[in-house]
Amino acid sequence: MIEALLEGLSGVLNPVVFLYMVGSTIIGLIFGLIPGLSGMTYLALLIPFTFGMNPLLAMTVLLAGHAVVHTAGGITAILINVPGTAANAPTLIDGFPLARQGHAGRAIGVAVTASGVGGVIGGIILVLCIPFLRAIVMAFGSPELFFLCVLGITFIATVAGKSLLKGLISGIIGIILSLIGFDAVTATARLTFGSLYLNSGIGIIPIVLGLFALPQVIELMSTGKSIAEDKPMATIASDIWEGVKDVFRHWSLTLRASLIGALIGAVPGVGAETAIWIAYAHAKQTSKTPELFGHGAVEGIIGPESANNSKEGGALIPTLSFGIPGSSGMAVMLGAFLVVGLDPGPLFLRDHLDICYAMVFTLVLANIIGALFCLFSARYLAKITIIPSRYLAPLILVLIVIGAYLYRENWLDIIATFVIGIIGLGMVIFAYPRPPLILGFVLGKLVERYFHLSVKTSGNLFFLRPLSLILIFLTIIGLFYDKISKGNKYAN
Amino acid sequence: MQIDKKNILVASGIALFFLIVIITVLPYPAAAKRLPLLLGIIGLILAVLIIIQSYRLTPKETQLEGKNPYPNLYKALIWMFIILPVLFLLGFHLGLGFYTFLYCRLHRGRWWESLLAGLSVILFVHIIFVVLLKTWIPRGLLFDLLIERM
Repeated sequence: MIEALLEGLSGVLNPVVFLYMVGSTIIGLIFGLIPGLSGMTYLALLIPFTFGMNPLLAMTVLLAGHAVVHTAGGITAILINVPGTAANAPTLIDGFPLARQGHAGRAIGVAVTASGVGGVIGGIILVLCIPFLRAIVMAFGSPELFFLCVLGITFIATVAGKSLLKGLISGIIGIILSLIGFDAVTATARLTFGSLYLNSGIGIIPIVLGLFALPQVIELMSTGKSIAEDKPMATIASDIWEGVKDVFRHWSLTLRASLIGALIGAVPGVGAETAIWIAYAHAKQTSKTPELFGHGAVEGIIGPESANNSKEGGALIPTLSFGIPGSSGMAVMLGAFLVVGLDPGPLFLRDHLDICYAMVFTLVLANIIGALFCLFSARYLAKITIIPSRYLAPLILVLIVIGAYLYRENWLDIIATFVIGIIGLGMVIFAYPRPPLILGFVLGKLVERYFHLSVKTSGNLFFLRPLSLILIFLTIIGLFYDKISKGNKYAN
Repeated sequence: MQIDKKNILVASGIALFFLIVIITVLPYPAAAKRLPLLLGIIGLILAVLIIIQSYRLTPKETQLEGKNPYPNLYKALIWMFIILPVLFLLGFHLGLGFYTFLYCRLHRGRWWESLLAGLSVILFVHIIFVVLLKTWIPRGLLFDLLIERM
C-alpha cells in the first residue's frame, strides 16, 4: 500500500503531469468564475482534450479542474452577487454584504482559503477511507452491486429535480440510451432501427456535451449579455490576507464543515447543494453571533465554502470503490474515466491503487494551487465576468463541435450531440432533471451486466440476499424521502 | 385546478417513446430484451402518471412548470445550427474561424475585435488539435473541390 502511495505521488509530481495539473486548475477556476459554466461543463468540454493521453495524465487534467470550480465560484458571489456555481449560492448571503461594507478582499480571502482547506481535508478523508473500502467492496456480490446502481440512480432522481416522477423517467431514459447497440450477451443489435451509426451505441461524449454544454451555449446566445454587464462590481481592497487568517481563527468550524461536506458527498446522489446548506445551517447554529448571519458573517462564508470543496473527496469514495458516482459531477467524471481507459468499480482499488492515490494527491494539490492562484489574482480573475457573451458563446460552441468530432472522428457524433442538445434543452424547459439521465447512461451497462450475473448466480430471487434487502429498503426510503421530509416540515 | 397542456404533450411524447421501445424489443431474445422491456414498462407507467398528475396541477405549479429560461430561443437555435453547414463547406479550420467572426460581428462586435476572435479560433484549433494533439481535422467540401480543380 505504501508502495502504491509513493507511486501515486511520484506520478502526480512528474513535471509534465504537474504542469498539466496547474494548467487545468486555472481553466477550472475560469469555469467556476463564469456563472452557468459548471464543473460538468468543464468536464464535458475538456474530455476531448484528453484523447490519446495516458490514463494518469487524463485523470489529472479532469480531476484538477473539476476540484477547484467551486473555489472561484465564490468570487463572483461576493463581487457581483451572482454565484459562479450552484454550490456557491450560500456564499452570497454573507459574502456580498461583507463586500458592500468595503471588505470584498477579506470575504474573498475567507472563501478561497476555506475552499482550499476544505478540498485538502476532503482528500485526506478519501486517503483514510481507502484501506477500509477495499474490505467493504469485497462483501458486495453482483446482486448487491445491481441494487447499489439502482440506489444511486434513485437517489439522484429524487434530489435532482422538483418532481420525483420526472427524475425517474430521466434515469430510465439514460439506461435505455446506454443499451442502444450490440448486446454483450446475445450480440443482438438493440434499438438501432437499422442505423449503422447506432450499432456501436451512442458515445458518452455526445451525451455529456449535448445535455450540459449545448443548453449552456443556447442560454448565452439567447440572453446575449455578459455576466456582470448590468451589475455593480465591488472593488477588492488589500485585506485579502485578513480573510485567510479568519479561516484559521475559525479552524474548528472549517474542520467540521469540511467533514460535513465529505460525508454528505459520499452518499450517492446527495450532492453539493445539500452539503453546502447543511454546512451553512451548522455554521449558524454553532456561531456565538448568529444575528450577524445574512449581514456579512465570516462563518457564513467558511461553512459552505469548506463543504463545497471537501465533498469532492467524499464523492470519489463510492465512485472509485463501487463505480457508483457520489454526485452528478462524478457521474460525468465516471464517464470520462471510462473514455480514458480507467474503469472505477470493485476491482479498481485492487488493480489501480496507485491511480487512486494519484487522485487523492491531485485533489489536494489542485486545491492548494487553486486557492493560492485565486488569492494572488482575484482582482484580475474577476474581470473575466465582463467578457461579452458574443465572444464566449461561439468559443464554447467551437469546443463542443471539435470535442464531438474528435471522439470517434465521425460527423454523425456532431449530429448526435446536436440532437441530444435539443433533448437537453427540452429537459431544461420542461423541468426534467438532466443528472439522472447521465447517471443512468453511465451505469446502464453495469446495471444490465450485474442483472444478468445476479440471475445467473443467484437465480430469479437474487434480491432476497440480506445485503440486497437492505439496499432495496434504502432505495424505497430514497424514493419517499422527499414526501416524508415534507410531511415532517408541515407537521412542525 | 388547471390542466397543464404543455406538460401533458411532453409526457405523451415520452410515453410514445417508451411504447416504441417496448414494441421494438419484443422480438429480441429473452436475455437481450429483459432489461429494456422492464424499463420500457416502468417508464410508460411513470409517463402516464405524469399525464394524470398534470390534470391536477394548481395554477401556481403550472406557471412554474412552464418557465422558459431562454428569451430568444429560436434565434439562438438558428445560430447554433448554422455552424453545421459552415463546417461541412469550409471545414474545421476556416469554418470555425469564419463562424466566430460572423457571430461576433453580427452581435455588435467591432470589426477588428471580431476578426481577432475569428483568427484566434483558427490559431487555437490549429495549435491544440493539429500541432499538439496530432489529430486529423476535416478540410470541408469547398476546400476539397478546390484542390480537385487545381
